[in-house]
Amino acid sequence: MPDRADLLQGTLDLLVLKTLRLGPLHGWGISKRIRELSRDVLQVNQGSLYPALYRLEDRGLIEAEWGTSADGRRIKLYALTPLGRRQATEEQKSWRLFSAAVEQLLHST
Amino acid sequence: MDDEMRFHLESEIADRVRSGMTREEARRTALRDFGGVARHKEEAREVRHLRWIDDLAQDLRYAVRSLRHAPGVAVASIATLALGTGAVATVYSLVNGILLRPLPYPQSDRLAVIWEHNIPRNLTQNPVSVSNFEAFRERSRSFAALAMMTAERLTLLADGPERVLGGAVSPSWFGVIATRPALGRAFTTQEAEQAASVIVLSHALWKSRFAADPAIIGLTVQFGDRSLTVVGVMAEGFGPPAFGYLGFSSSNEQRFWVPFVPNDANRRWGRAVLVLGRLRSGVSLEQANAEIRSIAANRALEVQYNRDWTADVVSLHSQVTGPVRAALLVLLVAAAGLFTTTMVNTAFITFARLRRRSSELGLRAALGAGRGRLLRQLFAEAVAIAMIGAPIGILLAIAGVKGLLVTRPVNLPRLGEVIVDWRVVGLVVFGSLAATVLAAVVSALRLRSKQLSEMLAHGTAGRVTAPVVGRTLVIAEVALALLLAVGAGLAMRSFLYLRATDLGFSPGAVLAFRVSLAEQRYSGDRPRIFFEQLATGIRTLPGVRAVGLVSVRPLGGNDVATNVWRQGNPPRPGEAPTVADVVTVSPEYFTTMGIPLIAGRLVEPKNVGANLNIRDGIISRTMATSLWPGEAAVGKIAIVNLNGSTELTVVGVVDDVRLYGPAVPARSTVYFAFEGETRSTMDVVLRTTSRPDALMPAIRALVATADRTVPVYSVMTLDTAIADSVAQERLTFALLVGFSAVALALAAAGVTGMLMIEVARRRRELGIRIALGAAPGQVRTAVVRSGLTLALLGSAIGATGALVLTRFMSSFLHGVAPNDLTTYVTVTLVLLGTALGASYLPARHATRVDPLEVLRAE
Repeated sequence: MPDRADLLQGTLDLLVLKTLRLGPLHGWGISKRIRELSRDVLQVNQGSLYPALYRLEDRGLIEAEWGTSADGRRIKLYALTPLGRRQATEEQKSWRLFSAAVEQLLHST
Repeated sequence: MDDEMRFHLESEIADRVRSGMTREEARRTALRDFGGVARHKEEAREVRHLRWIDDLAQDLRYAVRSLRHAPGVAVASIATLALGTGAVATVYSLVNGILLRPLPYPQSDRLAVIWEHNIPRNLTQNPVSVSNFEAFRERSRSFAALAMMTAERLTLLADGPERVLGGAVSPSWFGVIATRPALGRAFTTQEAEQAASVIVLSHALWKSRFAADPAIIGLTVQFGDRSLTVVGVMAEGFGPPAFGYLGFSSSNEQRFWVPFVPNDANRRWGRAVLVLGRLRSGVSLEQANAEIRSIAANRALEVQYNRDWTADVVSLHSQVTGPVRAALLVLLVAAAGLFTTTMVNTAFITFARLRRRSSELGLRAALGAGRGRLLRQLFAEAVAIAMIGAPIGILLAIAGVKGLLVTRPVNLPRLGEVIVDWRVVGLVVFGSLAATVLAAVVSALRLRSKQLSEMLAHGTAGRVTAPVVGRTLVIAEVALALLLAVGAGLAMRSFLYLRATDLGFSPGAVLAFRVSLAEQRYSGDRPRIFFEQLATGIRTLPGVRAVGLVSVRPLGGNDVATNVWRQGNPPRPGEAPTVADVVTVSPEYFTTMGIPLIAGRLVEPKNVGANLNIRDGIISRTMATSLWPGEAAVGKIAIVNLNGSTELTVVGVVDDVRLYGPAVPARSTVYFAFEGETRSTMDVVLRTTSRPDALMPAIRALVATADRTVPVYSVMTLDTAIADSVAQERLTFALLVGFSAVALALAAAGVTGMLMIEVARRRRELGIRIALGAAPGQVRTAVVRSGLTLALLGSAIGATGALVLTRFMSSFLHGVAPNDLTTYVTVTLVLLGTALGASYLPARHATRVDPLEVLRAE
């Protein structure tokens, strides 16, 4: 049983939104936090992360801002927009519905 | 984005190092996990819809690479493109500089010229009389300002005497052209009225004779026997309005301007001044024309002198550009035709290339390249070719323009304004892109998806190139080549006709120059003595066979012309009397020039009386036949409308001379003996045995010995003068021949290419025929027949087009009709011969098809 799971695209969007709830983060920070909060189960492939971030940005759910890191490097920080905040709740609801349905199916067979 | 990725990667590495890995290992695993950065970028960009930038860059890179792999094709495309656009750009520069650009004066579309016009003689573009000018100025309300212009010559003495041409102009002239001197000022009306001795210099004269000294303003300079104060200098590059007898020719550059004011003396001149005016704003040319005509009608009633005369108003722009407009437009059409051929050839080459790469394209299609992607590829290649070809085309245009100017097209106006400017550059770039992109579009239409898979399956052409399209292109090329060649042939025959026209004298080894004596210092008999002594002195120089004197030599400009009629038979009102040029000559003039005497004898010097109103003279053949048709003219008396009225007793008749060049037929001429009336300015003509120019230093020395202050100028061999007079025809012909040569080459290449494709396409068929016993001769004939058919079709279409279009050339064709059969036949034969030659290579190629190989491949 693999201990690293591939994430569905839509699920990744939801995770990013939830992660950013706690405050703005740069790309690597997001991936690290997802890893931490899932206790190393969910490792986000960088190839999926950035497309997801741009997608979310295009949809207006997050916005990006260039800033400087602690050691003076240029970094891009992402933050939730009000729309993104609302959407996060919506997405969470649909996820719960979906996962419950899948669970039910798996139990019945 | 790069920064972001980099930061991410480095943070990841740092993190792994923190968790215990060595830096090496951390970096390696991080990179591995990260995957290809480029791929991420690409995927990310794909999401971001920025993919097209990547694709474009890739397309262009690929395009350049594929061009490098097929250098022959690339070179052919680029060369074709550069030639076509270069040719068009060269002609367009000419047309732009001469015809399209407005004249270099503020609101130049308001400037107009007034001419007098004799109705019964249909004499248009005639200079105006001073009194009529004054009437126009006083009574006209259409013009904001009117000015007179006439020619003036002055002698400059420093550094050897030089005779310079300038304009004598009304003070309003500066206002009319709305241009003031860059240094100093124009002359004032008071200065003009008082006939003050002031002068405004051109920049060129100021630089060459006065070393561009800024202190020239206010300085009084000696010009021959006149002292003039310099009050202004015009800006560098200023070009005065030049038309009529002050028009463009090799020696007609105005170098200074002095005031011209009507007085009793010049009111008696006759019709001699040029009139330029600025229309009031809101007044149209037609309104001004109508008004001036009605003033002229009144003048005709007021003054007997103006009877039968009216006036015309012409815009300055059409006055200056009119004579060359037809020729330039024909050249432009020809260049456009050549460019079309270029486009056709480019399309053809693209086609052929597409055919050869069909298997590669099929493969790419199979690997997932959408049709859109392939199209983009084609466009990228088109753009790449255009971007390489365009600069070369621009360079060719620059070289072309320089080359044209080197050929001394001296009677083309506004040559100084012919440059390769941004419009021309834009035309080249646009044209290149249009040609290549159009070719790509046409080729792309053939890329239907069914054919793509077919290409992959067969690995060969399939049916990518339908023969119909290719054939049509080649026929179009041949038609265009024929069209251009006919135009070139006509222009060439016209030019040769002019060159071969007998002018009535033999120009070989005849040198001419002009000498001008200051009137104050040479009065009475002194000019005659001076010139006689000069002629004698020149005759003793080694290499001189004969010397003659003439008031104005042939092709030397306009001089006196007036009416002549039989004694007792004056012209009736409404009748057009004979006009004759009046020339003053020394007795040796005719032998020097090689003009044969056909009746009677020359005027004896001792028979020249002092009475200017009863004289002996010699007339030309035309005058003899028009005044005394069918009779001998010798001994008869004619009346010449000169000095009041002059009785002319004809003592001899000489053959006709075309005084104004090969294009103007000879008309009546009266020759008076110069002993009777010497002018202070005379042309000297001398026939030499050796190189004429070598004699000039000795001649100048002779003149200087007689009088240091007398200038010798307008030095030219008659051969040069004749060549200059047909400069425009020569230019037209040279350009058309150049274009048609290129078009012919392109058409030949097209035929060869097309036949090669045919041969390749029909390899199987050819192989079978050879296997079945067809002789090489038969195979060759088949190919050649194919080529000739194309050429014949193209020639037929081209000839029809030529018949229609060359009609527009008739205004500047001499001695040949636009539908001249010989030209058409010759050109067609040349074209067919070229097609024959072009078929040779494919024909030979066809015989080399190996039937075994073809059959095996079945």
